[in-house]
Amino acid sequence: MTMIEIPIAHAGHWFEGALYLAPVVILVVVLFIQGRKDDDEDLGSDGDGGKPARDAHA
Amino acid sequence: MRRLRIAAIGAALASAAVAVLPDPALAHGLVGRQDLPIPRWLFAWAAAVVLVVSFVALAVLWPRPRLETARETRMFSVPALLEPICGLIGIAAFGFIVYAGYAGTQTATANIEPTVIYVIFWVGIPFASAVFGDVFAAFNPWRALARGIGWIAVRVSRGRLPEPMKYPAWLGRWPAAFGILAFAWVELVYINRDDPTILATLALLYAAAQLIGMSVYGVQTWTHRADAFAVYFNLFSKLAPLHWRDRTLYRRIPLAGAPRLDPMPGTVALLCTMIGTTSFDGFSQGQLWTGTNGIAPNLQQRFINLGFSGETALEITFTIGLVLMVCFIAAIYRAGIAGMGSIGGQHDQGELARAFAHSLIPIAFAYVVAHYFSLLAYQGQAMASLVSDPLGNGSDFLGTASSTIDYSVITATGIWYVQVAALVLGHAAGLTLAHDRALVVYRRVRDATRSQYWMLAVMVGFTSLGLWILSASAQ
Repeated sequence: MTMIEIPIAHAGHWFEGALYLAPVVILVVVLFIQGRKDDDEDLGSDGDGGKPARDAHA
Repeated sequence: MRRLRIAAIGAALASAAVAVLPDPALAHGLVGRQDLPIPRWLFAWAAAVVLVVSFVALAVLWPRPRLETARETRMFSVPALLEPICGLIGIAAFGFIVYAGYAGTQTATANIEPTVIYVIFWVGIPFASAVFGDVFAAFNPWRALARGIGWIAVRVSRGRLPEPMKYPAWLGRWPAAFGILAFAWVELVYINRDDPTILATLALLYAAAQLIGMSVYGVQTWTHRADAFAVYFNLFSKLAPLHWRDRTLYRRIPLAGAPRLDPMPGTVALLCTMIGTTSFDGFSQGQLWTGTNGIAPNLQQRFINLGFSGETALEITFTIGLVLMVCFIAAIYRAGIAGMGSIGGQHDQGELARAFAHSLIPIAFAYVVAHYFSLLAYQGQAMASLVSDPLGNGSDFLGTASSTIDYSVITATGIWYVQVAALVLGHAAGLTLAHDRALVVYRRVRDATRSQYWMLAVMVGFTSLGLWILSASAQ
């Protein structure tokens, strides 16, 4: 019984903690989707898709 | 340091008979009530937005490595005589602090030793190092002592001293990592952390261990790899715009020293230990850990049920928390590295972890500022009275023995803004260092940017964690 009551009694704390976690979760989801899109683009193009990092100039 | 907080847990359980005195002056929590215009969690969201904007700006405006190739400008040199003088000052200061621990009052707040160790040494020197460079290297007492002994030994033996042993490459910075973890254990877990006599004995044991290590492997090699405090302070000095080398001062752009970090074995472990121990310091003040139904009281009760005393059970509980927090920080970093490893073909994860280790230095410093700024601002003032009466025996050498701490020097709200600014700037700096290194590691700009998606997630994760810990400990 106690085990069930603890999280309910502290729901406010858990909710506020989740608010801190939310930006990380949103970001990871967005970046995951973006990463999948980038992978698809890479498969669509053949070979070199960008400038070499060391030689790239603004 | 946090005797009051831990004692509160023991009292709540009525089982840990922790015979300690409350010590509000040494506690480094916030003083007073914060008056914030928005909820604290919204700061985490704002910080995440700032980091995402920084990431986009780096991707667009920073297409080639700059920090990796940054140059230093020579400013001036100092006379060779200054080196032994600074060493002697360091030895004298160390000797006096140890003497105060044994000869002074055993009341922690009235003896200069605990405040010097936990506030000036542990917190003040990282601040100084990040601005003025590796100042500790000049005053390192055990290094100065070893060099002095070596200088005499060479003359007595007429140059017939054996060469130091070769330092094992696999050992790298592991001794420093364990040293920092051990110090953090004393500060955050050990029941007698404020006892001046015990602190003095531990200081002597640490110095003896350093002297043995230096005599076996050589002063420079041991100092740069295994002397926990020398390595710890040196890491922060890599962020500084000033750099001392061979008695010459150079200036450089801030952060430019970090890419020159030699990522030898144990470096990632050391940085994760630095961040993890500071995180645990904050976390262990929050309700989730110390609350009536928190993790610590429940875990402590389990160990008491196994037959341990209240004090031992509390120390075991806090040791588990400390180690798990370090592992948690390492896991976040390794998760980011695992993601990066999937980009741009053949990159070994261990190699990537070492290549990007230096990006953790500004984060470690941000955590130090965020967690200990208030301690330095408040308890640092206690030095005014302690230097006048260092042993706590009623003397008043400088006429300042009766001075007190002015808690109005900065408000609780002001401290919160400093903490948020430190975390955001520290993680933005980490992101910049990681982006700069990615441009070297990855063949294409596109891959470099994509690899940093993962580092961005790591940085936002660390920022949110830091703000959540600070917020929880302030409640």
